[in-house]
Amino acid sequence: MPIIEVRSLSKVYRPNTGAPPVEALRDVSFSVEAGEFVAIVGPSGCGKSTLLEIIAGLQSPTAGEVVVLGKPVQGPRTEVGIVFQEDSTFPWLSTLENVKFGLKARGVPPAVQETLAKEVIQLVGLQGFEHHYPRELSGGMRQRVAIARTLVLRPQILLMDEPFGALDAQTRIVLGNELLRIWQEIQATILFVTHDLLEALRLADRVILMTRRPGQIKRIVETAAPRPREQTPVASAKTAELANMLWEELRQEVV
Amino acid sequence: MKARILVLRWLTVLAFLLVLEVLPRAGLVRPSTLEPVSVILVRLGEILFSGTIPSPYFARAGTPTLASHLSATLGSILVSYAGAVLIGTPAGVLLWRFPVLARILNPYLVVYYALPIFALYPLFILLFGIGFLPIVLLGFLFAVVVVIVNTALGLRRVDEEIYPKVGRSLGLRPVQMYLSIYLPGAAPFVFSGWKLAFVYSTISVIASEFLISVRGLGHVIDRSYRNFETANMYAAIILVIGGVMLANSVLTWIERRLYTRVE
Amino acid sequence: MSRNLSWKIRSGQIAVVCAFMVIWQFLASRTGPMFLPGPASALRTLLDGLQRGWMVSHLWTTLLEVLWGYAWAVGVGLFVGFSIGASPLLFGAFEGPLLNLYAVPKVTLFPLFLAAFKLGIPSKIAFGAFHGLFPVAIYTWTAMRTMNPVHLKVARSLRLGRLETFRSVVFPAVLPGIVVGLRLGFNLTLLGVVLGEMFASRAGMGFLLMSFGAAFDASRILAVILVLFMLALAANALLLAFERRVKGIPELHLRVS
Repeated sequence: MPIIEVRSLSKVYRPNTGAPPVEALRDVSFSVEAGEFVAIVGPSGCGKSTLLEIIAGLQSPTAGEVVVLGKPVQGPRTEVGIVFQEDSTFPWLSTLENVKFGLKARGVPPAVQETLAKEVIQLVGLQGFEHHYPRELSGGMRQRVAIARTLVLRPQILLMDEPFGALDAQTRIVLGNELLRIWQEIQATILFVTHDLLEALRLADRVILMTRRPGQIKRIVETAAPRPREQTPVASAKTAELANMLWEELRQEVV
Repeated sequence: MKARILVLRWLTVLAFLLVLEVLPRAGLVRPSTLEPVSVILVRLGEILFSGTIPSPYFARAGTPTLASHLSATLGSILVSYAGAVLIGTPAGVLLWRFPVLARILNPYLVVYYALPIFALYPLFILLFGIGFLPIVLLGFLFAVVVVIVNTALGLRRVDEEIYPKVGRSLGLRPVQMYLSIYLPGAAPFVFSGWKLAFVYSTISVIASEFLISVRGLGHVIDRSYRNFETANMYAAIILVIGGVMLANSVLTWIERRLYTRVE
Repeated sequence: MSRNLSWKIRSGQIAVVCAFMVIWQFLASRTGPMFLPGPASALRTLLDGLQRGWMVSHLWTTLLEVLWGYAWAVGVGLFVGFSIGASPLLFGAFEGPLLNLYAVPKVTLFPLFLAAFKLGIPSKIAFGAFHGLFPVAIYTWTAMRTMNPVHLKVARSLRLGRLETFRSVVFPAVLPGIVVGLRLGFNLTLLGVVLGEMFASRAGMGFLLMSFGAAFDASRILAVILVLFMLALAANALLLAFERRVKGIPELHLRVS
């Protein structure tokens, strides 16, 4: 049984400003198996983020449904964690406090909070920065804090909405490597949204290609490169061939 | 650069004080208009040290002590300010929770500070008599709206950030959302409102005392002016301005620290 | 905004005014016309003041003082604002002290203005200007310092002269900030003039307020307050329309400080 099932999902925004309604998603269906790393690629404004937020239970669909772990999604769930594109670290909390944030909200005893948080900080490579505030960290490190804050809650499913979108090219590659290592270590399922085709191919087992608005699934491809993979700026010949092929399809969607 | 800035700032202050010292000493300004700065400062020291204002007028009026005036002024500021904060902050939260209400009131809030609210003071005196009540009421009216507006704006700013979404994705309950997302996120903006409310209520209280009252530092300035006790008047002016500047600097310092926490 | 919601908001705004009137009338009927006349009675007194003329000359005096005070506030405020905004040295040295001075009860300094300008109109003009120049200057230098520096680089790369740079790059960039300062500056100028008149004068609306206060004439006090408030609202309607045009936005946001 798949861990995430998206069934004929549609989303229409009706702004209360009197502007015409916007159709963000149209009849989107796919499923993700437990332990998979799936990437969703599409042009800007194709509804990728909307899709992810519906799966996370942060928005509700206009039609269709999402089933996670056998139960329909009605709101945010503890088994699902989400990492956003924007810097979402709380500037008024230190690294350690940021990471402990969700644990504290769930009423985990302080001593346990401390142990779990320190473990995850180690995992994302932030040891030594526990007492720094976000303003003292680089963009890449802040995103590590955000990832750690989500990981510490041990989600079975990790949703990532262009998590490296605001970072420079080098940092993206380094963090991509780290993400693969972490993914192998925590054995979670990852659904990863990006507008970067190569990034999707480098990271994922399967890539879902979306059309421009209203977002529909255009194509789903297996990347099938061997694991573990090492991230490099230049893709392997096979990946490059796949990328060129997908680019032909994607460019029709980029107006 | 840093050094030049400090030199320029303090040279300007020094030059200003020097002019104020020389003008009356050189006989260019009559002492009934302006006493030399040194004389004023000595008088201020005397008043602070002895706790009494050396003036036959205040002795006759039965309020010769600095404490009687200081307590009146501080009491009025404190009550009007506390009222503005305690009523304005929840009102701002309501305005944020109910956007339709905010849109209805928006034009009135925008023009509120356009009105010379001070014109109401003679009417308040007619209604409540000379004393504590009209002064406090006016101070409250001067200060409350800035608290309301800044509270609502601060909370709305948090909504524009990603933090509420993070909170929901982590499954926070409503109380947790308020305490750990909205409170720290909006704190600096709410505090800015509180700071301005302090400034506004102080301005209003001093101005009320200055126009019509029987006690308070504003009253001291007014009476000293009318009785040609120039040194007392300037000593009181310096006391008021110095005190407000000090309080304002402290509040601004706290405000800056709060802002660096959310940026 | 859907038609339904905007209709709701409009009627809500009218309801606020109605509620205000009802409360006023209620309070008036409780306290009696000796202390607080109702809205209708205040309006009658106002019209009487304009017809029989006991208010007219004072209104002219106040208008004259406000207009001159405002002209000075804008002139001096823009000069100070542009000077401080353009020079990091001046900004460093005077930003903090001027912000601090803005926060003090300026009314305590009125005796100095009386000493320098005597009792008549000039002291009110100067005092009004002294109130109004602060927001003008502060908003001007803030607008200059938050200007996008890349625009200045563009101007330099195009080898624009100083005057041309100011006219076509700096001025349009800082204008939206300045118009807010201009509106707040007017409000404070009016406040300063009225305060000055209330403290010591023989003419003007502030003088009327204090004399009617001494005579326990509540209905005339209210009439004067109404005129002052209407004057403030009319001027703000103009300045807000100007602000809206400059910023090119349909609805203005709250901004009071």
